[in-house]
Amino acid sequence: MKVSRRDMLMLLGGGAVGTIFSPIPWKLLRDSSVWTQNWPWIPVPKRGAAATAASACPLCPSACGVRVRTIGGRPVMVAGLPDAPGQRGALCAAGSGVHQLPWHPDRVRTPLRRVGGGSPGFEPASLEDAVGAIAAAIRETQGTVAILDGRPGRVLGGAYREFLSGRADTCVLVPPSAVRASMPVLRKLHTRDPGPLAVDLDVVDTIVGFSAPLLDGWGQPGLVQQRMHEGRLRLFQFEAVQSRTALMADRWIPITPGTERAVALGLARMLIRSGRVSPAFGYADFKAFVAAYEPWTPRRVFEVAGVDEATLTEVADALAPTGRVVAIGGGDPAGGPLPFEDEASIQVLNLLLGAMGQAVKAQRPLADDPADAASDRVATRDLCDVPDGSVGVLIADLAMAGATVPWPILARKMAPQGLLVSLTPVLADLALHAQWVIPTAPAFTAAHDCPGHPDLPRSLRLARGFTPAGDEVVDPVDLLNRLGTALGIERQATVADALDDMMALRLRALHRAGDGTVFVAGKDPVAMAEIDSPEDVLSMLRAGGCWRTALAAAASAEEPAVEAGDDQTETAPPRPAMPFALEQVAAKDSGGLVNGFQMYLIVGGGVERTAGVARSPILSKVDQESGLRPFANVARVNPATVASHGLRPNRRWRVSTPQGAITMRIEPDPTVPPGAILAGAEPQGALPWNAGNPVDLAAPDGKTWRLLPASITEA
Amino acid sequence: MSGPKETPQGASRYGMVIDLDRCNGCGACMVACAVENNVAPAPQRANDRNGITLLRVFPMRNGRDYPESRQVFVPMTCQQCDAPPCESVCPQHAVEFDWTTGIVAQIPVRCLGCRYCMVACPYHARAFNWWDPEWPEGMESTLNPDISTRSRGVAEKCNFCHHRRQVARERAAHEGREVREDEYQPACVEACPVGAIVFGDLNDPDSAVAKVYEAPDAFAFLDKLGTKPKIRYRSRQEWVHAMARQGVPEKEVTRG
Amino acid sequence: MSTASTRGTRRSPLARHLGTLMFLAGLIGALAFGWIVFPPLMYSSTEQPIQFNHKIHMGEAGMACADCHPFRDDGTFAGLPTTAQCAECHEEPIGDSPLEKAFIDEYVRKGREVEWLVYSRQPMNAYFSHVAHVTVGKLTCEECHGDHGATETIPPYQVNRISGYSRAVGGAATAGRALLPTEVMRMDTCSDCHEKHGRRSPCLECHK
Repeated sequence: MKVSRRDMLMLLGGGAVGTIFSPIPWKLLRDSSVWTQNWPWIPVPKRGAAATAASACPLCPSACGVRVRTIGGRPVMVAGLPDAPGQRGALCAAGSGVHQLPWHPDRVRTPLRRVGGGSPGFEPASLEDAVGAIAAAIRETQGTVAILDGRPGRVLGGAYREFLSGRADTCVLVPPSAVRASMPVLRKLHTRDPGPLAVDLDVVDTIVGFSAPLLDGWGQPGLVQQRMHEGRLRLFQFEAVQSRTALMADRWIPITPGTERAVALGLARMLIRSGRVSPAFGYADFKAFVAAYEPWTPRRVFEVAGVDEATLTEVADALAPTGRVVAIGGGDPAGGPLPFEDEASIQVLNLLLGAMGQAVKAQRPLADDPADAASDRVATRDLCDVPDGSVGVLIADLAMAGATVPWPILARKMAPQGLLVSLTPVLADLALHAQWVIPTAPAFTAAHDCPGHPDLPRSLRLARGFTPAGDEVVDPVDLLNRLGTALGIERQATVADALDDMMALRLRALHRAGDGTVFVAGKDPVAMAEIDSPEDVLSMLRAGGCWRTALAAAASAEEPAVEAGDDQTETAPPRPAMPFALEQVAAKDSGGLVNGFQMYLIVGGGVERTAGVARSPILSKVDQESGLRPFANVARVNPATVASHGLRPNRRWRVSTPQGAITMRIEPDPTVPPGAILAGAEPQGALPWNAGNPVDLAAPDGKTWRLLPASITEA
Repeated sequence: MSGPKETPQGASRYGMVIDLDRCNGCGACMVACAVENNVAPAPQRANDRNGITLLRVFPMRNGRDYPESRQVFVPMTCQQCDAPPCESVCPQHAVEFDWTTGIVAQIPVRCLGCRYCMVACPYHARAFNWWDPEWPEGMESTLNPDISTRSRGVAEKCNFCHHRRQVARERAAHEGREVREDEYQPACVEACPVGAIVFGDLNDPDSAVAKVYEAPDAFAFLDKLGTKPKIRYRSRQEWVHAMARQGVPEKEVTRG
Repeated sequence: MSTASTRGTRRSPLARHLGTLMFLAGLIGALAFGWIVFPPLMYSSTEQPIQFNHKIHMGEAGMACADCHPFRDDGTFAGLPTTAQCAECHEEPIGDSPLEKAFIDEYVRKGREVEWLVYSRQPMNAYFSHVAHVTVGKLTCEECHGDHGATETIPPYQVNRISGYSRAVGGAATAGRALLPTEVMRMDTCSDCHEKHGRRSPCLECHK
């Protein structure tokens, strides 16, 4: 029997028909389609038991309480902690992604040593080498040995001073934003130190903001806006840019950029002339004081700041010396503080309006708080106040700063052969300029303390560690101890072996003082004096609690706002009752533009843009994928200016200041005043939106960088 | 096309009211949304036209120049239409009007990526995965197991964090009780620091959202199209109402 | 052409129907291959890290399913017990089974978790609530998981070579029926049962 070709075809045909009626094609098709829904390279979320924990957000001095959702112990979501005092469950965009920071793409995994000259890079090194090199530099330097504490008030600050106290010519430096915040400046306006001051938001019913970033990182943004909506807080905002705060204000009064001082002086003059001055205001020579303000007529204010008399009168009429009004400047966390004279002029309003003792209260300093250790032996200074070229070795800890420190300002302070050491979890921003980079624990990997904002009552929260930090992370206290050993520095007894021990010391001190109250979400507040042991305090703070100091009793005249001195007669010769000449402040005109620069660069962006904070890359949703906050060197310019200067948005433009230039894209924005360029500070790093930081164009005066003379040319 | 007429008795009809006079444009809702829904950080080439933002906040301006310029921030997400134009165009039944909740359900695993729905949506509220999601190494441990990750080539959108409803229902069933209103709130509502977003069951007259849904200053975007959105906005500023009748704010942003 | 020469010659019946037979052979061969040989080829088999005797726990020890597979406080299903839970009884060997001794030596003493391969784990796009089905719907465990509580050994874990799904979840073939009794967790199985109980479900009910 011969099998023909036809028979073979029949066999194949039968096989084909059979295959169609078998699972083969259909199952292959089906399984393949399921495969396309489950690409192996797409991560599958891990399962586990869900739980909720409370902690604190370490990113900025608002120190918000956070509720952390965990799956199998891993944090997967962060939200504001409801009922936390001062915050009411609010959390900003950066805080909402804080749990992702341990996996930041720029995370530092090992000590790094700078190599190369022209285009510098880093190479991994051992901690022993790092300690050896830093110790040698400290031994040999002729200049000041300083530690830049980006977040004053932490227990680490005490450890830093303890370390520096073993040597001559040392100091702790703090970001200008912390020193020149509203309350520290108000404190300096007194001849006798009233101690640390704080705004008592429970008392305040009116805020006069001078470009104050009330919704961008000043104090407790959530609380401020929620109280505004409840009708319990009025806000008058003087600001050049129509910022988010200005938009939400009851009244936004546009001013010429950089003229906050003129407005404050004009407002003060109106209050004085209409007699709306608190009786508690006790300036020694009131006549001289009035005379100093006399030149700031409404006409002059209009000429300088562009605020007309009717508007200014309207605001002045709405203010009464009830003690419930507070004036706040504060500057922008990213754009830096106002000049001291500007902030002082604003703070004089608080004295005039009788805020002292009511809206503004003195806080009791805490005895033997390890965070304040050695403050009598080691000076704490504004970075801007250090002589140029004087710092021989600088250890910069900006890991949780919440305030910008521009590199140009830091660079000019360093001695020619100075050594910069950066303690940071993420290789970004100032760390890129360091000779040594020491990896520290990122947010959510180690427990640490989170002190509150310098303008608000002293508070303390504890941030918890959720994810193991990894062996490579260096405890800053441990680093100091190693350095101390290498240098043979005798150190004080309070110094502990690690950060954990220091926090335990701090809680013991808090408990001993018995001051203030501990708030735990969902529970009644407990006075510190009623808590049995420091361990109980620790467990309450670990459970997401917040300690807040008690404020001095309201409306006390015991501490006159401004020391009157012995002689109060008006015939006595005029003398400054303040540590600087107020008359000079009043007379000093607001600075004009530097030659050749026809525009202003306004650096802003609020607390979310502060250079010290490396944010989670998920913030790209806001920066990069929404029109909300243009990222990557976008300069926002008024449409009229765009038209008059021919700034075509599809081209690249160079924005120049006396310090340099960066290339930017132009975006027309009618909320920016004509002639101004608004740019958000950006932490510099490897991420695409970290290409250049307008803050690096900062500070021809070495002190401020919110407003810089600038010009635009085509790139 | 499915519609509310199919809604069975006793079912829920979830809706949202967003107060534009309260929103200060902080963007916390966008981040919370991305974190909750396992959205990856933007790749370098992503922008506001091709990125994955299930919730996106637009600045909407009154068209006048400084200092008369005013803006409101419009959190724009799926409007959960009762007459969803995206549903009927889907060849895959990857979009379904959920008759038990009123949510316009998007099922990414069913999607074949034709993007008809994106063309059909007048709110540009849908996003397309042009790239595979990529997290920095290790960050995938922060993913939320209550919702899947999506791959390249599928469309996605806001489902009102429906998985949170499932979690709430599961807990309530375990404890033998009904779901409380505060147990099921989308991530954006939870994240809003100023309480600008109110969410709840419109069929429940006692819910917070039902009380403000018919407020005189409440409006829906592009009402004239007859999509019957279940998200409404509020503002006391007349120009906002006028702009909302015209179209999606600021600039023409077409996804995909 | 050859047709001219073959026409008219006598051929055996076999030869005459050879074409049909060949067709049938091909058909039957393909069907047999497709239905019997092919499906198992699609799955790779992995033995569990250690064997387990359900019967002895359910029978002699008198335990119930929920003793080792409980709900958590929030209503989610905890799934498989951890080694610590096992150690509550098996800190030291109870019987003289070599398996038990191996388990205690390998896992309890070393504090390691058993990396069980879970037959019925749903893919990430599916949501399943045990509370809804067990507490509210009053389903028994066996209705979905089969009677494995009475088995003395646990079968190897079979996973589809293409889709990566467990055979219990995505296993059934195109015919719409399961080839193995454990292949019960396809979407069709779920929706059929929902339909049967008058619970037509929207997509979001089960998909996430």
